[in-house]
Amino acid sequence: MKVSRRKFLAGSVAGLGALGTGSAGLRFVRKAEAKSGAGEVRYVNSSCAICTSKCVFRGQVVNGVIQRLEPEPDFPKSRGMMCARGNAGAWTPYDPDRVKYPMIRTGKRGEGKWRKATWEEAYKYIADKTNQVVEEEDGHRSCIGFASSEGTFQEHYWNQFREVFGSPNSLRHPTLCLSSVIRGFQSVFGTYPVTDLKNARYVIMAGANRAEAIFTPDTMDIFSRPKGSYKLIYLDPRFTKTAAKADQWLPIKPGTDMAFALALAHVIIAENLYDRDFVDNFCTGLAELTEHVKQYSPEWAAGETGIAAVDIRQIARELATTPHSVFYPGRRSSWQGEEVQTRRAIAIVNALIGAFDRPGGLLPATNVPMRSYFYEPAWYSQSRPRLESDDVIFLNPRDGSWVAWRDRALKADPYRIRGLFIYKQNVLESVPNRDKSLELFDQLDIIVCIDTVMSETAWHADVVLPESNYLERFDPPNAYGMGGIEPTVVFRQPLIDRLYDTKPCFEIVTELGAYFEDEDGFPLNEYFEGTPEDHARDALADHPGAWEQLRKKAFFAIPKVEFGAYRQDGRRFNTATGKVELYSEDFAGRGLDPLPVFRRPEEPGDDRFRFLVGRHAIHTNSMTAAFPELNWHLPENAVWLNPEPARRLGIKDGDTVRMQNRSGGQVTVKAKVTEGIRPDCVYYAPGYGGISPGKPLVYQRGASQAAILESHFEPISGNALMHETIVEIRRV
Amino acid sequence: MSNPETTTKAGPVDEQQARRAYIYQTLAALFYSPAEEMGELLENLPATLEATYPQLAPYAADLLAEFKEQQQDLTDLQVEHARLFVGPNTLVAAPYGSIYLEEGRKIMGDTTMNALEHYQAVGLKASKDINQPPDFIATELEFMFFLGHCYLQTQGPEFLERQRDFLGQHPALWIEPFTEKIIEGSTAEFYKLLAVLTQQFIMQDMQALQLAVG
Repeated sequence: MKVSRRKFLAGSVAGLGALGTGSAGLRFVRKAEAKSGAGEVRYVNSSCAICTSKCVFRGQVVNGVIQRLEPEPDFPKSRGMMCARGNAGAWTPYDPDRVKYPMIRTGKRGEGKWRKATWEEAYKYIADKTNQVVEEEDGHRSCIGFASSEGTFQEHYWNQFREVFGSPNSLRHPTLCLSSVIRGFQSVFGTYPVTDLKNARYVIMAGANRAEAIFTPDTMDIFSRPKGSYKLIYLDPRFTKTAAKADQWLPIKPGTDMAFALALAHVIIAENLYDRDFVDNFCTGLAELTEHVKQYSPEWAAGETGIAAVDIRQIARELATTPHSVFYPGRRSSWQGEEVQTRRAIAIVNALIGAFDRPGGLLPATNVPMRSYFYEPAWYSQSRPRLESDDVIFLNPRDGSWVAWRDRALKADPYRIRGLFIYKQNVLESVPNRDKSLELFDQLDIIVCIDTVMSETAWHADVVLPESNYLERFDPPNAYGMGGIEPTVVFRQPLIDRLYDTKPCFEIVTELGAYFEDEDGFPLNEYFEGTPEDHARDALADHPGAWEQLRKKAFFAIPKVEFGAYRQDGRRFNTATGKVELYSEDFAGRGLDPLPVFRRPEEPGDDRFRFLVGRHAIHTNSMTAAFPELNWHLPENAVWLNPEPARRLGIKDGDTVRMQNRSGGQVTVKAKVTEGIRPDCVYYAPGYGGISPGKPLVYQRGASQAAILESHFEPISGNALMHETIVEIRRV
Repeated sequence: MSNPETTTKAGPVDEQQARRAYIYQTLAALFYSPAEEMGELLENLPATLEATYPQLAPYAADLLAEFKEQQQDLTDLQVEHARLFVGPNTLVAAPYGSIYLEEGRKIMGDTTMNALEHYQAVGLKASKDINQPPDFIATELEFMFFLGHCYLQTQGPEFLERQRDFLGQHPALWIEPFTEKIIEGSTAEFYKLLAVLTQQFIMQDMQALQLAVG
């Protein structure tokens, strides 16, 4: 019977065409547009979620549908700008492939068989599995890891859930990004400062590709200024858009920024060009530094960096003698070698030229003071330290160290990880060495993922819980990343009603909490009180009018910070000595170099290349490559290769090549032969080579960075090292 | 209410209208995630089609047989339903009109808003329980059922005209590319049959409405 029905069906399908084309003869079959002019137009302000800048926009909503996201001219941090990525975000709630309902995996992990579930079914599934493995681990809740990503404004609820659940194993984004620059600058200035690029007259950026890695207000402040009003020196092995905008591009050998910075310090001290007033009054360790940098002459640095000694000497002199000069700290610093010490060296140069607490210099980020979100802690008798607590000297307990943690989890050393709860972070695209991450996934009993889209990570989970899109969500005020010279808080309010059956994180963790108990049998949902709106009102209770301003404008700012507060007699810096520490007693006490010591990076070897990562102008890491309007500009990524090795290897522009790293990771990708990269390096843009069929535009198109990156981290801050991967390339 | 058996004192024209409404209601239900109740709905479908558009009745009989052959828990069918219409993969056959009627793979476009205007014109509002875009296939088919029901209640010819206009501006316009995607992409005979049946029924019904209303 089945066979005959199939035959019947095949026959009838073939016959459908006649009826189909017949529709042309139907007079009343025609396309209708919505009535024009009858629309109800509303404007709703909210905050962008497409990168970490969190710009405030005015959303135009016509008849309940978002038409466009316009810049909010009054928002100080973005200087009234809304970038292409932020604009493209208007599509995200209307992506037909977004996650719409809770889904439970029915096939093998990653196979793609799912069934739609109710929230209750999904919660129960998660709780049954999780409670079972916790019981098998003798009640040790540390067997569940919790990953999350910055920028949702609801991440603190996720952290709260982890804490009351009772696991120390939290994994956040900083050790895939900027933990080493934070640690490096803190060790010198006691803070990771912001930079007043608006007033800077002479700027060095080392690898901080601000023209493409957009960060407000920095990107706007420097590139909106007239040519000639400042000088930008840019160091990068790659000719990025920032290189194109710079006065001087120096294709430095990767991993030698510290040598460059130490040589600057050498010249500045040797030629007595340092800011005597600032150094004498606020710094400690000049004598040790003077002795230490004697060995690091520009002639020596030229051999390490590939930058001519005469250039280094000139830059050092210009930097020290031009008023309002600064060596920009940058953000992502997950590069190579001793990253924390490299950042220390850059911070030391800034201290020598007194680029602190003055126009065009560095300034501690001032935040809008808010009342903190309070919740009761939960206490557990069974507790263990974080998995990787012995691997990292300055381990941030909430951030963890992703690579170190993952590699320990794989070996169950010192204990076994049984599950991973993931909030928005795309672990399989953001953590180096995707094969290892997948191997860990294979070992886990339960993987839960909350996301708005079917990321590669969600695709490999057991349960996917759909979060409401950022344009549908109320998110409490956020000050993270909003501190600076113009301290601001932003929040989110819905532009539209929620589509499908999605929930914001707070609702999800509260409801999921009802399926778990603490050690005293107290249900975890009872730890969550109020609503995000209550929390928002509480947070700003000390600022009369702030709530109303938020509802109207989606931001609230306090008066601009005036320079000079730190340059007062007796003012202590947030360091052990209360001074700016050129020499670090703290580091010495921990067995670390108290002054940055340069160690030469490994040579890649003949016809081997150092793989570099970095932003593309229209993409935010792995997040946006599948947005149609952005993907249109770059449908597929390609590996940048210098013409000289390309010739040697017989690779032409557009050829397909296979790259392999030293740990067996492989990708296949097209080649882009370009002078815009050093002959010893290769690079491709992030976000491509996806392994989730839920992201059709990048699924198996191009190559993934996570797939080719080897597993490396540095032990001071725990930051991943993403420029320590050495690859071979062959034409396919 | 919609079952033709319960429509009393109806003339042959009304009976035909009642059957059409019932078919729309049933087809709409079949585009939701498979549930046991679907069996009951499907039971009457072959006979109803036999009396309405007889050449389509075999599809309905096969559809019913296919449903009965499913495993008790319907998991396979639910998984296939999710793969076709829900996700979390790239939808094999996105069940939203704007995907086929507008440029760019996007929901909530101008044609979606036009569908909503059709609903609002007869006093309907979007339900908060479903939260699907207004041009979701099941919603559009349910709306056809609703208009048929209104016609039976009032005998008002405008409800036939409204059916003709809505069908012509919406389901009839995109049912072909939508169902072709199901036929090409589905691994389940049930959904291929549902696709063929829905496509054929809508096209036939469009012609019938044109003849009836002009």
